Amino acid sequence: MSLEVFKYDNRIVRNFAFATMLWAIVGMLAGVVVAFLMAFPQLLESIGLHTEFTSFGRLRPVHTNAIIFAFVGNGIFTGVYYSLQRLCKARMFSDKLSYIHFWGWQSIIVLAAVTLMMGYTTSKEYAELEWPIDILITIIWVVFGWNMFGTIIKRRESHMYVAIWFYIGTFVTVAVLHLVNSFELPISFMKSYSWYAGVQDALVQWWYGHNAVAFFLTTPYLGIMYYFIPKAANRPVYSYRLSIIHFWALIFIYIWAGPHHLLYTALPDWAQSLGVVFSVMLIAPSWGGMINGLLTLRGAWDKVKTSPVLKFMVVAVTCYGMATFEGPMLSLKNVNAIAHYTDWIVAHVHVGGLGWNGFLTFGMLYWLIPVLFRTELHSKKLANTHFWLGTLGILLYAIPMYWAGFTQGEMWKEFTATGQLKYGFLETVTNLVPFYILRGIGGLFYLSGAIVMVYNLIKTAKQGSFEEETEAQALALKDQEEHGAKHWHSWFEKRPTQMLIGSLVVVLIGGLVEMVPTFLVEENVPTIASVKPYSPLQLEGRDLYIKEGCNSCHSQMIRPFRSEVLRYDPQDLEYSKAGEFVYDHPFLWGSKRTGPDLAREGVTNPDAKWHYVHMLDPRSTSEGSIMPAYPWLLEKQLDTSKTRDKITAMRTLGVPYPEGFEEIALDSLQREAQGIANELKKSQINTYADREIIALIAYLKKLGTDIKVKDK
Amino acid sequence: MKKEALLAIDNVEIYPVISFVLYGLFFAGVLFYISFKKKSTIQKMKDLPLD
Repeated sequence: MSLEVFKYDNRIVRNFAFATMLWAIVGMLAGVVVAFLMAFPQLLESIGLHTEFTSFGRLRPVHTNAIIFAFVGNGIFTGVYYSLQRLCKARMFSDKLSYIHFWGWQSIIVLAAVTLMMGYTTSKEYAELEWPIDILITIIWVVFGWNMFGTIIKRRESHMYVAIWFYIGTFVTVAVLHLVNSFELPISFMKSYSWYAGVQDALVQWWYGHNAVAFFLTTPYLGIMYYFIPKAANRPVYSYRLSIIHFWALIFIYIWAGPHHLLYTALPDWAQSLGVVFSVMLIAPSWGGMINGLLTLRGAWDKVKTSPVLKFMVVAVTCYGMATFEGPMLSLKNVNAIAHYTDWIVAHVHVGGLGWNGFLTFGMLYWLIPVLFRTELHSKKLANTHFWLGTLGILLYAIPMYWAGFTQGEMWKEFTATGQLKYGFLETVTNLVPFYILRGIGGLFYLSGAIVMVYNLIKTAKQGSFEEETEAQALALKDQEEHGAKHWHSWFEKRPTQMLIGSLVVVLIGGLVEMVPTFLVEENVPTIASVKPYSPLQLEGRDLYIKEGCNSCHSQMIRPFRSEVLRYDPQDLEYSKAGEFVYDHPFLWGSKRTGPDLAREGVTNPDAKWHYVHMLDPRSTSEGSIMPAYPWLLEKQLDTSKTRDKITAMRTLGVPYPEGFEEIALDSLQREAQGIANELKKSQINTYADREIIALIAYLKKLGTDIKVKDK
Repeated sequence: MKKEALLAIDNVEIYPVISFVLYGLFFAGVLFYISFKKKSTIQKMKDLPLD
């Protein structure tokens, strides 16, 4: 029996740490830009930067993806690569895999930013990237998992600390989520259609979307919390027993909660109720975890006063508690009825993003960089300045957004004494502009703080000397004696593969229970005979709607409230039905109403001229509108080279186009386009029938018209 | 295709219920396990990050 000597690899940790800092600035900058675009839609026009590549609809997913996958993603890998080696008392399994993982992930980020700005998107939130990048993500994720499991298997510590369980849960669940939600049929390089349609697509997407929050933004960060808070406070976690319950309860319950994103929609009621019940149950493990994190600091609160690291961590865990209390509350149908589609949700997300993920990352980096560079932090004063800039930034962001959310949610539902809607939609938007300005300022504060941090940490790195490898010693696992009785859970704790399978089974239960009946039972998606597939021109228009990210701001889902049917379908007062979306690959219900719902746009506003002028200059038709202009749609020729393939692909997916229709699809497209061009000509607008705007108008004119045919 | 495959399984609806019950039992087991876990082992695991 002898001690083995080995070295931890610090280079990979440093690389991920610096990538985290770089992408923090990029992602937050994109956030500040889109925030100010909502207050000043002509901001980029005024400085000559308003192009199709920089319009709101394309920049918004750049911001969300940069923050989630670039900033937080690199933050996760920084924490995992540092803590895993130390908790396993082993160097990473393979330096080569670490290297491939690092550069692979950064390439994905760059490809994501470029392709999203070019308009390549699936439209599914946080899963916007097109199929070749999806494949690359899968490969790199497997590389990460391989490296992680290799390290765990060759470890020199028999017990796997709870942080490792969270990492395993994260790896396996993200893999399942990514694979299931990315099930799509490629049409060409960089264009695909979701395999699922309408209600089913919505369920799968929000099962994914919710659990991206759970298993990308939460569980790996809980692992980081369970490692770095004890490390920074130099005391063990308050209750290890609680952390075990926290892990199993969280990964089991989280996976069921996705349908709370679809309350009052066309999703079957039973699925909505299941989502609500499990969302409410989530308070218990979430708060258990928060209390465990905060109580770890019991008896060490004096350190919090003086340590910027602990300050960041305390606020992070507090924000985790606030966000995980608010989430279940927002899942209650009566609260959701007001909050959904408003800025309340944006505020909720940012308490989690800015507070929990941001501040925990900052705390970890302030602790880690001095350790890696064997020095003291360059300036504690600057770190404290960052803390206050960040905290004020969160407050300045969240308070106006809550206010905006309550205000708009209430304004949408207010009636006059005679039973009419009190406010036009545009009034409810222009009313929010001051809040949007304040939110932008909050974002600037937060971004400035992050820049201060980057400066401080670079100075720290420069004044120290980087330790590429840290030498350590431990007994080989086989030489370690086992004491005490063996329990079945101890068996789990020492077997990573079984832990992986256990986690997989637990997360699959929730997913399967929700999805299987929705896919199996016909009554869950009743078809409506009058609902017809999109014409080739409408289909092309729909793809442009996706490309420009219109669904970032416009919903297509009228909820069954009087205030909604009266606003969006004043003629017939019809709310949206599941059967209306059976040919929608992907679904386009949206999650935010910065602009009005468009589910019945073809009925309430079929005027081609209005849409044409509105796209050229939204403020000429709607005074005070905050929508960006889309002048390029009027100029660019519609690409019809893939129309035929799109029809064939849709048929493969189950859309009942007649056999051979693809052969005449282009003729049909041109005929319909000419009809719209003629209609515009009657209104003194001369345009070619082959412009993109014509296809978009065709799509907008189709929206909601099918269900009306049935009524006649 | 996925639908046909699932429908081909006899009494497919029982599987989610079985899964749910299994998880319930598993979770009860976790509660039982942590309640009776030896203090010294818990302490050892707690101290792992600080080693």
